[in-house]
Amino acid sequence: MIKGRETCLELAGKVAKEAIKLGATQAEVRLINGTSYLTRFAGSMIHQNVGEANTTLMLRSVLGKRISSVSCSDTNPESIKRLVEKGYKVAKVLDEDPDFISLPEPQPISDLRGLFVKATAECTPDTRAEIVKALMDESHSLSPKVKEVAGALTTTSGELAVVNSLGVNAYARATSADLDATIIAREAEVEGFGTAGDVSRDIKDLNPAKIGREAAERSVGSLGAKMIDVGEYEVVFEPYVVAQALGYLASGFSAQSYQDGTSWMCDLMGQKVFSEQLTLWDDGRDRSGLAFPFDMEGIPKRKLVLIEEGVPKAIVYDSYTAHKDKEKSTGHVGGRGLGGMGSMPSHLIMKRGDSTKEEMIQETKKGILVTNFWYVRTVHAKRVVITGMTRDGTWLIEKGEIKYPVKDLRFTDSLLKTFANLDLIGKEGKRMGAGPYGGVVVPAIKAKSFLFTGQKP
Amino acid sequence: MEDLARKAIERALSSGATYADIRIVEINNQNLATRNGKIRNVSIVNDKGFGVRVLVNGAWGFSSSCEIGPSIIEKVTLEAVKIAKASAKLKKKDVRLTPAKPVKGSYKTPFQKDPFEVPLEEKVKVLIEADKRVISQGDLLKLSTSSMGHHRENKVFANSEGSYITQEITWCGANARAVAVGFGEFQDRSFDGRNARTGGYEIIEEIDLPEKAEESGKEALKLLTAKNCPEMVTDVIIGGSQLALQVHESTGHPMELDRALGAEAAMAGTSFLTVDRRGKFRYGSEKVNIFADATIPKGLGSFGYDDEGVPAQRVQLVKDGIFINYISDRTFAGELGVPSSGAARASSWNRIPLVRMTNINLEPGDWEFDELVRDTKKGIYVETNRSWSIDDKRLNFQFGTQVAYLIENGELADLVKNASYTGITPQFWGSCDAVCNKKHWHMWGTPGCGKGQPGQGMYVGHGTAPARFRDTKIFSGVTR
Repeated sequence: MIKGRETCLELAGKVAKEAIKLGATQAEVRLINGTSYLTRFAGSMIHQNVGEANTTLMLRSVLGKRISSVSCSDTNPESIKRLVEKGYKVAKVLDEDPDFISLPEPQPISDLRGLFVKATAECTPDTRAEIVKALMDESHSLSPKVKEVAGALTTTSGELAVVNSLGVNAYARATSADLDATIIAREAEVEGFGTAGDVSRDIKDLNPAKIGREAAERSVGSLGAKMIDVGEYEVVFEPYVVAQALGYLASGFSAQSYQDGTSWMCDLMGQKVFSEQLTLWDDGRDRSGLAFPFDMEGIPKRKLVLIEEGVPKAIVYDSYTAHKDKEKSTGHVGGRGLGGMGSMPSHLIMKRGDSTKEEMIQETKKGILVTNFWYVRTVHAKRVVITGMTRDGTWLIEKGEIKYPVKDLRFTDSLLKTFANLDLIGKEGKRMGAGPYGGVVVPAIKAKSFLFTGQKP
Repeated sequence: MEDLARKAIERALSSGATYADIRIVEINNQNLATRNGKIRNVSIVNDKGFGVRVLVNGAWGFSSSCEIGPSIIEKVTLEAVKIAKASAKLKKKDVRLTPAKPVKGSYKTPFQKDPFEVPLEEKVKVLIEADKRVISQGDLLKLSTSSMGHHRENKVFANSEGSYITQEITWCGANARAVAVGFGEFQDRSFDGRNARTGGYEIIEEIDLPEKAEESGKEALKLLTAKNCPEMVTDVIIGGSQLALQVHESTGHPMELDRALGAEAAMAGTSFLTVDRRGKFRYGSEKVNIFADATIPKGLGSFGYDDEGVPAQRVQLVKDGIFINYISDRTFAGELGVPSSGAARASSWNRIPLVRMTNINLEPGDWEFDELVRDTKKGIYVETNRSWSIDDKRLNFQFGTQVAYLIENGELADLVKNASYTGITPQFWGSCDAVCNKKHWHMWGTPGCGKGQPGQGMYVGHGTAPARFRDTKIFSGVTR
């Protein structure tokens, strides 16, 4: 249940004041509250259907250069008293952290309206079942070969308050509705898989029939997948792939990894690394994504260009790493966790090009169309070599046409190389993300080469 | 608590539920981390709440709250019933739970030293010493991070069949990571989280983290100037820690019955071990015997009862290379008409129990490690996971390792870096021709196995000894 601006800020402020009263030199309180409902389906029926009302109260107590992080899920006066005492007691026995300078100073935050949509917050189990049914009905109506519809519909309604003893006093609330489908088509014991999904602040924006149709078309289209010779191919990546790939580049933008010397950016800042077509920025205020006005330290979001025309330009800071470089926090502390969370891009947006997916396929001599990546892991962080499998529809393209589906392929390649070899960029951006506080907007891309190293039998 | 639990169950039954259970859970976590000899983070978490699960009209509903009290329990129970009724609108069949005897019982992880009573200063001292033993080895060792975590879960389980169980699970773990940076790259070597186990602070003391950190630092430095692993098809001896990861990904996950029946299709995927293969499919060579056992002392996946009140038990999964059983809960075992293997586990009060690994173990063989190396004319020994990837049916895998030694004429030879190996699960396990003996067998842990929507991280264990796999493809991922 949403508590509202006044209640949240008052509660967080009270905890911060109690911490100072007890002897903390600085204190920061983060209150995350909300509800989340998830209707999950598989085998064309709802099999899991869950709800959750949760509150997390987090306190950072600072005693000079000693810092503790404590949290609890209970906001009654006794629990708050225990939390404040524990925070003080823990900080008192710790060694000093010489790199800690201060919690962040307050900065003005402009409101972002329309992040909280009543229809999403008040969505009932029956409405979620109706949406899921519409998706299933459309999927099955496409073809009798569609045998199993799986996926999930999540509705979340959350609020975040951040208060610190230096004057940070930030509050915002937001909703999100996220629908995704994975569909299994079957013909003579051969399986084909397809996926599709969408996310919005407003549940009414979701089009379950469109998602069901898109995923079903992919599943039927990937029936009869064949084995191919592995090796270098041109690739057309759907936005689902691009979002995952950028996620692996994104860890290099973290100021912590840059300061440690483990980021791929370390020797490449300011150099031409990627194709000139690649421009990438982070902007928590851009409403084409899941905008949110501030980060978990209460620092306002703004546009920050990370890669401009193929040249890496910036890293993202929290207050701790910013002080170390005599910079200001860029407002990129994310996550619900405690302590040294570090900074990461949270609202990545990739500049769009002017190609359609069809044009990218037409421009491909011999390549692979990939719908989705699965189980991606870093093999070599400095060169951003990743491995993983393609999933939910993979096709061979020859002479500008899709020839036939291929079995899921394993890839092992460097993303630095892949984005240097960018050929074409899609003209439509797709919004993706989960939960109320972040997401990406990315187009499809075509790259000149990508290395496939294995295949699922 | 018993009154509150009874109230929820009675309310659920009077509202149309044919089955109901409630879990009231309190979790306490303490995590400490240092970087380069300085304290970086100490976090203490207290998280409590309850979740009510009901079967209405043959379908599941679940609701949960972090507030605990009579009125909220009533509200949440009624919401769970409402959710179940919505689920029933899109059901194709009724959920039929496999029978389980009602249990009144309790369980507490045995431990010698309560980790939450050990002073923080003492723990920080260990971590700082571990960092210092790394960074004092030279300028190339740019980063040393050490961490320690303690987890305690107190939970009450009650169901409408008469079960009432209280449990206290405690586990501890510690990590040390050394990163050497230079020559345009970095190499890391860690004593990783696979050392987490159930028990008290004695688990941390047994580890001797500073010593392990020092060893990691030495090896990270050597790796920086080592050659890349050559690409070849060869005999691979996989060390115990890496083999624990192999068992986790290519054995444990595909043997989860919910995956095999399609319930995880949209997220984790399905399984190549389809139900028609149970009892006859050759999963591995005759040397491969694998069992699930939630009763092993100190196993990270050990407990008294699962989150459906089924007692912890041992179940043979693979016998002489043949796949014979799944790990299961009451819902999916009911579909197959078999007893539950006692593997329904929920990560917290706000999550439903899913089919999860407990301790999934490879039975020891009869080889001494040195004897196994001597018996390998040409090959490679790999240890400690760096990256892991496997397809959605758990067939095609590729795992990167932190450290590898070439084997030449029966002896460990040059250290090589960036070694990855790849294979197809049944062929790979089919090539296993030797497993080391009990002396080399160790219980490893995986503290954060991810599964489900919304996501759940679960702590599971794996008992393994080093083993040899013939004709395996190995290469250096970085040269790709």
